[in-house]
Amino acid sequence: MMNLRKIKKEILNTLTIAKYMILMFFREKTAIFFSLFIPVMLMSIFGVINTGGGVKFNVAVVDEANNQASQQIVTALQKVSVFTITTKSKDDALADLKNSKQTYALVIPEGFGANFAEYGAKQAELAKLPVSQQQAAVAALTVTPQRIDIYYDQSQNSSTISVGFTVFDKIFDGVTHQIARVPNFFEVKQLSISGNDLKYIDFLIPGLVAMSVMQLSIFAVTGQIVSWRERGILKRLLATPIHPGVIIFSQIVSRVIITFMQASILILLGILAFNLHVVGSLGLVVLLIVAGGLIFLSMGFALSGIASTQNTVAALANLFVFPQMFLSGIFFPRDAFPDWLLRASDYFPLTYFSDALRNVMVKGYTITQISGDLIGLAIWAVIMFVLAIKLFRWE
Amino acid sequence: MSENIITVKNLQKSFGNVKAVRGISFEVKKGEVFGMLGPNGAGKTTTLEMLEGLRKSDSGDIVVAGVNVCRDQSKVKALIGVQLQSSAFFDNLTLEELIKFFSSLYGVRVDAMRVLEEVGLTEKAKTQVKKLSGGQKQRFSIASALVNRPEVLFLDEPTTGLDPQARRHLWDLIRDINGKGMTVVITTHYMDEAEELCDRVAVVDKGQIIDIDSPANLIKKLLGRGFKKKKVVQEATLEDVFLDLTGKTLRD
Repeated sequence: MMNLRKIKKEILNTLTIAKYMILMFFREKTAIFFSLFIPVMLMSIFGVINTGGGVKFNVAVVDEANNQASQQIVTALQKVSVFTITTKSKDDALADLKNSKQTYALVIPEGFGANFAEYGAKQAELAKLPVSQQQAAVAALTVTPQRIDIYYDQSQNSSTISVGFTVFDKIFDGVTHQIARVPNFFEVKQLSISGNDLKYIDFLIPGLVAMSVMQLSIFAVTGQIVSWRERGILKRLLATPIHPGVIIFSQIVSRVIITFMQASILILLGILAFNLHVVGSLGLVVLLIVAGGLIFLSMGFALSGIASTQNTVAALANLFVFPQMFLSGIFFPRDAFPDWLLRASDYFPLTYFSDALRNVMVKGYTITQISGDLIGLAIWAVIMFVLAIKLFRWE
Repeated sequence: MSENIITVKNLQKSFGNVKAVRGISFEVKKGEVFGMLGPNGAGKTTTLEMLEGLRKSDSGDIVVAGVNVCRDQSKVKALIGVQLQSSAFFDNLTLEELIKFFSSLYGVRVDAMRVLEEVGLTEKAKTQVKKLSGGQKQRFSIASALVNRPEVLFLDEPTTGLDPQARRHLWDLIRDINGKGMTVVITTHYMDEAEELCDRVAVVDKGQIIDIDSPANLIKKLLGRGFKKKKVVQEATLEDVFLDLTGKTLRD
């Protein structure tokens, strides 16, 4: 009974201490800045750059014919989502093209659409023929093609330009079918599969969350512990009857709670503002964030044991944080790395952490599918924990 | 004669080749103000830290408030109050919050405002430590040492760096606390402070106690050895002038 009461008291103590540590964090403006503002800013910058998504063409239309036939073409063009259509005079359109304001200028010359009438007349004659002769007559049916000029911006990438032309061809085919009353034999249905072609923001946000967990854990612990030690605050804590382990434990509890708040805010913002798709198990996401948090917290405790001043500990922490930030595939996939770097960065704790988090969050991987990353994280956790215990010191 | 609340026997401590404390023994009586005087590096702080359970001794026995400190460090910490030389506390917490925080470290419940009242800091309850003056910081440091109603209060150079007004105010506070029955152990460089506050003092140098007695007896012994001051003792000191001109009102 006595022991139970004692344990309850220790837990209450830990929570009270953790509460005050969280309070301290929230009153530290620079800490808030670094742990929330920076990742949100990065998310916004990269998100805005990329949410435009895919290709978009500006097309100037010069309708010199201005008749029913030309209207039909313009209407069809306006329905194309990758085109932004503006109607202009020919001179303006070509000037825009030279300034790269427009990618294409489509000129429908005067008298356009005469062949529509020609075709109509021929078809009417066909209808008068006996049925047995109609098939042969249709095959022999010809019309004079009408010219449409399309100017394009030569400074653009040629493969991008050819994509636009493919779209134009498709539009004209469609209009031709309409006029000739030929039925469509194919219907294309667009199905997207979440494979390797993730949207960039889906790639970025889980990585940013992982990076923020790392930074918050390492910088907050190293900065705080070393400053407390330098200023004699740790010693004052040791002069109280509380078990030193409780202080460390409450520090960990408070950090993990803060990390969760931070990660939730980033993920929510991703969902609301950048249309992030979270498909995986939330439980697994939580598990990964705790695991990542513990690894980097231990790293923080180990580093604050090595360094004796705030400046050295900050330098040491950066030594661990920066290479991981850029080499763990947070901002871009590591595919482009040279082979040796790819293999080396495979083993970074942040690589395991961000890969697993990304695969669970946006690809819906299960615990067995990320078991490789989990093993990597477990090994790092053991290494860091041992280092933290060996290196951490109160004085 | 009242009982001893602290008994130290043949205490020793070395750091590498340096013998910081070489065989110190003394007793502190319950309810007295006991001073440790000595130049820097004499071993005062090291001795104090061993008594407080913050540092392990190489050899010797320490009993504080009935607890064998060498054997049971954490138990003694619950029975004593400690003010360390650096009076730094966490940033971003108010005095009131810090007192509550410390009471949870001691595993006790206290009325934070009453503790602050004891040291005259109720008005600063919502202030952070970094905004306090030197004297207020020291008073707060003492407040944090009082949350567990300790039997012995250890003060390590509490008035270093304070102006004469703040020093006198702190002396009043220490006398006040002692008047309520708390034993006080204090280290200092200031002889006037020791004379003013201490019932008995130990003069420490090079890790050893040279003499222990009441300030009056120590002076008597010196005079008995035929000591004569070179200059005629003045009726007043410059400090008296300073206090007369600037008043005794506390400035922070």
